[in-house]
Amino acid sequence: MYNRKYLIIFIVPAFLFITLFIIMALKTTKPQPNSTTVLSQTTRPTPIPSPTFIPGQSELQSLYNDINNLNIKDPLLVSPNFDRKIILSE
Amino acid sequence: MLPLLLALVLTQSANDLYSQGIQAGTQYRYAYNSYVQSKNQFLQYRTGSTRLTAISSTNFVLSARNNWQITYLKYLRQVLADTTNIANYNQTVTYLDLETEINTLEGQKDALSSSDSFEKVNSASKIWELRLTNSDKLISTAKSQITQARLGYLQHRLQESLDQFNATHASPSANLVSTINLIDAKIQASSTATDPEQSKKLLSDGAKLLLEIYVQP
Repeated sequence: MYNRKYLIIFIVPAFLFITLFIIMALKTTKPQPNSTTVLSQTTRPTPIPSPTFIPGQSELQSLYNDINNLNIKDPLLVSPNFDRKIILSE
Repeated sequence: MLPLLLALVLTQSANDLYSQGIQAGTQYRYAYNSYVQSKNQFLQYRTGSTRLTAISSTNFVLSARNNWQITYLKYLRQVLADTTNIANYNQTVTYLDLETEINTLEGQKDALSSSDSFEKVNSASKIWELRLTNSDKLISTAKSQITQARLGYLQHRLQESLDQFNATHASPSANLVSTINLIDAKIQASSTATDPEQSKKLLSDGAKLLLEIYVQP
């Protein structure tokens, strides 16, 4: 008598719950994007055409900036500007 | 082998020395504010206590000033070594002079921090300030050598870029040839220019022209 009651109260709902959980888990599992076809169709960005790209141009631009950024008077860009006359007077 | 390893461990990078210089400057400014405040308080109240505080604050600011100068000279020496590789006699002399100046200033640390009267404080300060003429000359020479080395390096890079451009343009037009010749002339003129500003201007003009012909179809 107790065994049957126990079965109805605990085991059957537990079984139903586990079954429901498995069904939900199977429904929510998405296919992994492991094929190149999927990537190319959905996430791969279209390359932006760059007709003005010239090899070495960025290096030259960087060199031009380096030349113009060179500080002739103070190449270190920092100099201690302390008081050159410290004195205590009575 | 051991001295070399020791030297490598003891050698500080220019970045570390730069940070130390910034820190030394901050300490100096703090010490200077304290010195001005205690000096004014002494002039206002003229008590024994304010007198002692004024002496102590002046010792503090003299030490901080000395420390800032030492840190700056160490940074300058390191940048000189990194930029020029101490490749010639003049650079070696400047490097060794900076070394001597740093040692001299480090030798004054005790005298600058331990005076107990107005006379001694003023005397220590005056002795230190008299060295500034020498330090200024040395700093100016080192900066000039660093600038010359950097200009030489930039000139070398521009020449390389021009050579690379020539290598990729086998049969340039007459117009292009005249521009290339003009850039080359500017690079050569920059290497012989005595004024660094003029040298920089020539290099800048050359790089600009090269950029212009680079982007031409």
